[in-house]
Amino acid sequence: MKNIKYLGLSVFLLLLSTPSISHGMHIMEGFLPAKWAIFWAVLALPFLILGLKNINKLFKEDVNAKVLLGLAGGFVFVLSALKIPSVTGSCSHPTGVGLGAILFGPTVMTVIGTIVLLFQALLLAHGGLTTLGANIFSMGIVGPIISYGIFKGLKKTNMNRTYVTFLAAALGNLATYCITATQLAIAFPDPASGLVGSLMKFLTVFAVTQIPLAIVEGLLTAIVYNLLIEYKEKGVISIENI
Amino acid sequence: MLIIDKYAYSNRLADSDPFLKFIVVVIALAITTTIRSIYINIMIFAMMSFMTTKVAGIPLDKYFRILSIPMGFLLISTITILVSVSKIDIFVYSINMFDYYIGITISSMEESIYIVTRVVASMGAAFFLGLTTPLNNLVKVFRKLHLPKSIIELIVLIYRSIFIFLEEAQEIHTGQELKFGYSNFKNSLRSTGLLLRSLFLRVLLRYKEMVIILECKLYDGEFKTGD
Amino acid sequence: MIKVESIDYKYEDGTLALKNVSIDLDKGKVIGLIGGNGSGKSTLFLNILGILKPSKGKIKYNNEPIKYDKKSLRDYRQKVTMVFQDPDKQLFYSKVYDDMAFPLRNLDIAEDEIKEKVNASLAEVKALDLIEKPTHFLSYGQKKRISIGGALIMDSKVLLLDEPTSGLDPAMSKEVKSIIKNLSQEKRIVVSSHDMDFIYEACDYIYIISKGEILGEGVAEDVFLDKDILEKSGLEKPWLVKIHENLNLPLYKSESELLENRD
Repeated sequence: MKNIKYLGLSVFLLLLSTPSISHGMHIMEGFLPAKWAIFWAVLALPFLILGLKNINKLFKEDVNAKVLLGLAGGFVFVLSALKIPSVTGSCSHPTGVGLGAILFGPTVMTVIGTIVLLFQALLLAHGGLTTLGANIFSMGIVGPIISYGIFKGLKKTNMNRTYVTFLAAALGNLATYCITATQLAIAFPDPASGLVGSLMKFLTVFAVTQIPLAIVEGLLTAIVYNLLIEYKEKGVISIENI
Repeated sequence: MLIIDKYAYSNRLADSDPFLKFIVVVIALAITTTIRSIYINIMIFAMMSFMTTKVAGIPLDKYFRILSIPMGFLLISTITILVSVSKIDIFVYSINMFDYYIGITISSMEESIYIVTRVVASMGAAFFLGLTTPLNNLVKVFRKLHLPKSIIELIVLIYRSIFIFLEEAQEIHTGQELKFGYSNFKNSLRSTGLLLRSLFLRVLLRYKEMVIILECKLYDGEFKTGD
Repeated sequence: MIKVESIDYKYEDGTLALKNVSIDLDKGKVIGLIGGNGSGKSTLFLNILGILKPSKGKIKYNNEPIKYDKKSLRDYRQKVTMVFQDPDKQLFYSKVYDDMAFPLRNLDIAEDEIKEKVNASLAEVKALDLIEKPTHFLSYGQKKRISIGGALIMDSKVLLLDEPTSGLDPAMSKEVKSIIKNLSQEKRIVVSSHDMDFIYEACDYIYIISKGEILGEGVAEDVFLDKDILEKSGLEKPWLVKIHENLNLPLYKSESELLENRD
């Protein structure tokens, strides 16, 4: 049963690190012309390959890890199909990649994130097949890395774990939206103010929905973290302290 | 709840060759994203939507409802691209505010039209694939394309667990709603947090139990499929 | 075939889940295991399957204690298998055919032989029409039958069933009961259930378990007439027993027997 603790820990950290895949900003189908669609896909590829390598290594060590990752993937997807409560009343959909396994590393999360993004495109009409590369890059790579990095970085300080969780989740989510805005700006520079101007436009326009969303994401993740700790103290589940 | 998945299994083209559909859609997407032509894009959309609604039998109203899902993004992003701010009047249409001109240039107008047609055509193509091809058939295509084995196994496992958790999430959600769990923002936040915790715990619990059952079924590390 | 000899089973934290439990599966063709929730039924099943190892005592197959190395367990599990209560936990694939074929593919059996066996097993649980269906579109009753089929396909000599009729409507329940009856002609069956009427009619030998200990055992008719055991274990009497005791009718084994003998 040591195994379940170990894996439970990583899935747990998965939950906390980045709610990016579930609630990030997807670039919709066909929005990017081939040049950029391919560019981002190529950029994402090495991370995917690395993730695949790590996954195969993991599966070799533990035949049951497959099942756990399968379940975690389903969980992340369902998160994205839920409606997140929002202050403005508009409905937003979470991205839920926060589950970046510290054990497996964010690269494994990239693979899971890719599969979830594929399902989102095919089953939910969120995102797209042509924009898969770009979305993987923002939501499956940058987001998790940022959240994971913040979490690990602040872990060493004395900061209250709940705040750390909030920051890791919220900032990871924000990073996602910034990257997406950048991707759009690069593909569609402003005729008057160029790339920078375009970036400013997109950041501003999306900030209206994305900033509240990032905050709600952060709050939610922190709440779930607290609830899990509650259960841990009552002995219902055993998760080691990170 | 996943209406696209339901149609994928029940439409008239569900059993037709998935590889063929895949190739058609890939070619269509290649065209929409590389060739800058409003007319070709419109034609592609027309063809794809015809195949989806008339040939495969997806009801027209549901089809448009699905198409409208990402429309918010299209609208907002396109307008963002359309409108610029500049100190010099380079615009076709503009309004003057303080020192600045806010307006639309010819190039951004062109660009926006291309974007809209490209998006709509691409959506037509991608949704044709999603609405008429059950995922189990799509997996056959993935295998033919020699996608890495672990990824295909994960796709199959994740697909299955999606439905398990969807059902659980819905049950939990309904239970909470009946107890006014979503009556205001604060409650919604807390209820959603509880829902997520439950789902997360179920991941761990199900994992434990599945491991036992897999042993009974002589699981040796591989989730094999026939072909 | 299988004997559980005086086993104790301890949880990781030291609590005793099973105390001195002995079961002999040769005592009947269909053996019933009854007890309240938390009585230790599932733990007992897992011990029989070799998933859990008793801290004391032995599990014997054909008078040989079972070995817990990988290869022995693999062989053993082709002889004994189980249908768990929750069908969703036993369906791994989203296509019924693939899910049924799963254990056979793990044994590297040829695809055409697999096809035959899948068809045969689905026919036995009257679910042949579901063969190409995606699992997530099945009703609970259908899933339950498929999970039984998934165990049947392993062609084991012993079949354990944990609450096979729970959550089923009366029609489906009846269906499952008749499937179990047919199976009992070729396999040794052990069934656990809260449905006393079902246990009474389907089983020939019964073990009552409570708080990890065997409270009593015996032929179905005897066990249910034993007031002490029933009180102690908090179990309901089957209706056929009740009418025998209260209406002075002879003790019938089944509803059909009762109806045949009405005059």
